[in-house]
Amino acid sequence: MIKSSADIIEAARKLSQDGKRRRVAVAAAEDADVLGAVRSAYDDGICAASLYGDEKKIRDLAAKQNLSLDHLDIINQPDPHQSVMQAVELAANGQADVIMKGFVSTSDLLKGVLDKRFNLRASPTMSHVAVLDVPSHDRLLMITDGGMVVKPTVDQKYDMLKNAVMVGRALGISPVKVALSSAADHVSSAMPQSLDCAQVMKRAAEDRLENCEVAGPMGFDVAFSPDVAAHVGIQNSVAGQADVYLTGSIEEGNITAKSMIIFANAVFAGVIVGAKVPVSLVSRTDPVLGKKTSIALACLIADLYRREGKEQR
Amino acid sequence: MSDQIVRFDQLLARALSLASNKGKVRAALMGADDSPHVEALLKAAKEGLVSPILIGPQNVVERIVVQYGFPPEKLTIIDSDNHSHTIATAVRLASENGVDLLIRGTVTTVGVLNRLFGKNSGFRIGKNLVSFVSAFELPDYPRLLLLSDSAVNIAPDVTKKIAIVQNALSVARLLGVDKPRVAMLAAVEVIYPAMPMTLDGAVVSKMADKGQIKNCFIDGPLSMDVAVLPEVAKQKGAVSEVAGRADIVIAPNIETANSLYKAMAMMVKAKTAGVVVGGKVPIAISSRCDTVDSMHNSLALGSLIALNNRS
Repeated sequence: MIKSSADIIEAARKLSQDGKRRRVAVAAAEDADVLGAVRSAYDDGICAASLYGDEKKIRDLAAKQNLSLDHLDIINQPDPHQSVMQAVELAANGQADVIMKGFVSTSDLLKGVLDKRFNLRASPTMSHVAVLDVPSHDRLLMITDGGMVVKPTVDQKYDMLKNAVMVGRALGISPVKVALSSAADHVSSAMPQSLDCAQVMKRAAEDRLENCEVAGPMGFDVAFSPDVAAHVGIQNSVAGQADVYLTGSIEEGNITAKSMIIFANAVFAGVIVGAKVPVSLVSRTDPVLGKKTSIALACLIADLYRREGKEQR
Repeated sequence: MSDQIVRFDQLLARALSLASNKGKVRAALMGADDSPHVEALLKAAKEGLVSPILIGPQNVVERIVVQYGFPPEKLTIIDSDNHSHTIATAVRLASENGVDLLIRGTVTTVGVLNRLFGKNSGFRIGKNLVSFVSAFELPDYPRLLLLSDSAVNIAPDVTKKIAIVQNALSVARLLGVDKPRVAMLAAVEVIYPAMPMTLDGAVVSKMADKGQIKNCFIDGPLSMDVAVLPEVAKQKGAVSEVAGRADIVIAPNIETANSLYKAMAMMVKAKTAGVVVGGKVPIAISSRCDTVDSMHNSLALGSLIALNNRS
């Protein structure tokens, strides 16, 4: 099982050593931070890359920060929309495994990814999963969704749950333990979020959702601390052992994750899932290690998709 | 105003010096059948901060206090064998001015709040909003960071958010922050109509700009990193009195505040304290993931508030 950001990077390198180096297609690659991230990921043996974008800008940006572009494919496409479509097409054709966001808005990128002609939609809901390596915690911790779905409905929460389980499986976790967040550990009509938890659990049970265990509502402390879970007497297979914390709003996911990045020195890797190809995005403010981990994480998810795709055929 | 309190040891020192002038804080522990809470309370008693009142099953409470070297006969122990009676006793004490500070022990927060908010409980002051304010001491932050509301108000509207801000401001001022900096948290630092919480933050912030909320700076919406990291604030072009140096962060809803509090306590290992304010007396509340030190910090913060309530 993969337990740290170093493990994530190592697992992606291993793919490369086994001749399964994953290729990242960058849309609108004229972005200094993205170029730096892709360069270091390539140098670490994490991925190969195809950069779609304004070649002159790409070369200027690289020169400015003394960045080599050796071994990175550059496909000149100064029109950002066209560069999105070409990057997505490469993935749709099976020649790229990961789509990465460059100097283009997330919504414009996702419009391209979900364009019907590419047939890449896998879930009704695209959602963001934050994978956090928190030094004070004994395993990776995933939070969804602090980046995409603002105020998810029960249906969307259920999709988010399935998307996050995919990410957990790509990290070698089985079963993936998902805690449904609430401020209290019981279902209460005063707290609508706790009612949603009950519905999501019911659906997971009815569908006999595989590869995961789902429980809630529960507080963050019950989800991640066996001591607290025991203290409050909550006994289920998730309490104290959660891998995923499914939050009720974008604010909850975002602010909780950021508090650990800022104050607990957590390494953060983010990915958007719900398409047949993972979408990688790094923020300007992420440190290099986080950016590399994000790309490596997307490569692992892509590898899982490939393996499952083969099994299905 | 005296120097700003930026650590819990300074907070305790301030509370102790006030107590030595104004008299000890009469502090009642609701549900004293719990060693960590009793330990924190008796520590504060030894320090001269509080005169403790322990409410709970007499024999259990006696057994616990003996462990900490206190002869039971020298303590005020009120026998109570069920939580409902414990809470009722504490609320009565508060309404009769027999106590300055309540501490939640083994009783549930919901149980306490339901009773306190009940009709004729004598706990509410007019229409004042009751809210929970917590404080964090973080190794990488140069001041105490206040957060509200992780325990009382579930999905506050703008009107309630203003009252939550006011309550938090009153706590910050007791810490010696004359013009507190308040961040209205959201997932982003810009306004998107599709994200209602960014609108709430913007409204409250604008009200402060217009002088409708006084003696403070409020900026919102702000993301967590922009609120507390000066370099990120700068990088993202968020220029304000608040960005990068918030004294107070206001979460958009209870779930956000609650998860944030617990991540701070468990993963960040921050030193924590928490108090319900806005009622007749403050109520010190520790989360179940908190340590004895944190309970003691809550007592010190609650005592500081209680001593300032005294004329």
